[in-house]
Amino acid sequence: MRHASAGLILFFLLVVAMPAGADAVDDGLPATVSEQVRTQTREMIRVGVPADEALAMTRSMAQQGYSDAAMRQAQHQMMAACEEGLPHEPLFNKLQEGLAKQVPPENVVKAMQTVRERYRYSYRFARQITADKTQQKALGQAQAQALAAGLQTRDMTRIQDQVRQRIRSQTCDNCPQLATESALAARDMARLGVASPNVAEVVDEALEIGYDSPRMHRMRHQFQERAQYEDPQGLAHRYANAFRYGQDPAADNAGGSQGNRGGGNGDSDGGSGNGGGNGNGGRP
Amino acid sequence: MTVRRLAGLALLPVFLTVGCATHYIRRDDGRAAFFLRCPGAREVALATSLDGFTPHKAHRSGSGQWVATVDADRDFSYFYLVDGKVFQPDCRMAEADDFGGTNCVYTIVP
Repeated sequence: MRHASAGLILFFLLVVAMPAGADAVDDGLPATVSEQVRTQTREMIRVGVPADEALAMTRSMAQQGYSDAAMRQAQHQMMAACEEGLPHEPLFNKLQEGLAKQVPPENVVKAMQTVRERYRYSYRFARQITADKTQQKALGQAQAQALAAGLQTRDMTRIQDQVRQRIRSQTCDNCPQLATESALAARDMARLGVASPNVAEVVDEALEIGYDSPRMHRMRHQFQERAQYEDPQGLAHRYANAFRYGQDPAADNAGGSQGNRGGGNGDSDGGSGNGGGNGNGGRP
Repeated sequence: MTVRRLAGLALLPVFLTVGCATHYIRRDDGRAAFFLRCPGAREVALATSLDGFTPHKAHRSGSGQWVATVDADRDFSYFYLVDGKVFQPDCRMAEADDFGGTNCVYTIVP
């Protein structure tokens, strides 16, 4: 009797459940999609891409007339990101952006690879700094976004080296958070159009005079606010110069106050109020 | 002469989209209204990273201004589609789009 029940369960699994799993991919894709692409779609789901995203991505590419080869290359990028422990969402977003902009498939695949390489580089450092997955994700993403905003790898490395120095000298309480805030500061300055070496100079100097993560956070927001009224590039020069003279440019009196070189704790600057209505408009 | 004429023709679409100017954003309670002055356009849409760059149709608000409103409780990148063509306004914050162009970046003002 027990054997009969086990046999029935096995029969159910083999005959009913497994083909149903296969049908989810088959049903979700147009008939024009080749067996090779279907197989690779199942493989994507197996390595961790959510089924709805794997199907949506393949369907969108098929609808836009991607060749089999291009579809498989794009799928490969997603799978490789998953296998490397990188987030797949930024690659999926890049594909969707490419589809919306009607970019040729080969350029979309290339862009997906560029995104993956940025995240691979960023996560390598994040994994060295912290074992905490949430912190790794925050730091990895902040760095990848800084690179997308125009920060050069050599300049990011300069910031990373300064963070490592702070860890070695044990002058940061929450080093992963400091690393993340530094990357976010670099990202925002790069997004505002500050040249990559100047971005690195400001963040590097801030780390050198002992900024902690709350101070870095305040400097980032204050820089954004001031950049609404001043040329961001000139502002970055001013910040770097102030740091060099041991001053804190993000202090209340805007460059007049004495910084605490080698110190660490953040002073209140009260400077991060709301920038108001249309801060995202045209560059000043 | 022919080269000039060709250059002129090549620049024509640029002039048509350059006609789109004065881009600004108004925030209101977790939502953001994107305004683009684009008098000659027949159709304008806003595409954002919030939802996989699905185009949100803008409506004409008078005086040649187009408006699209989206939920804006976090940072995102965006661009416009003007008569089906990508249009990147002059914006304060930008990032590379990895296709040789840029995207504007919307941030929550601190």
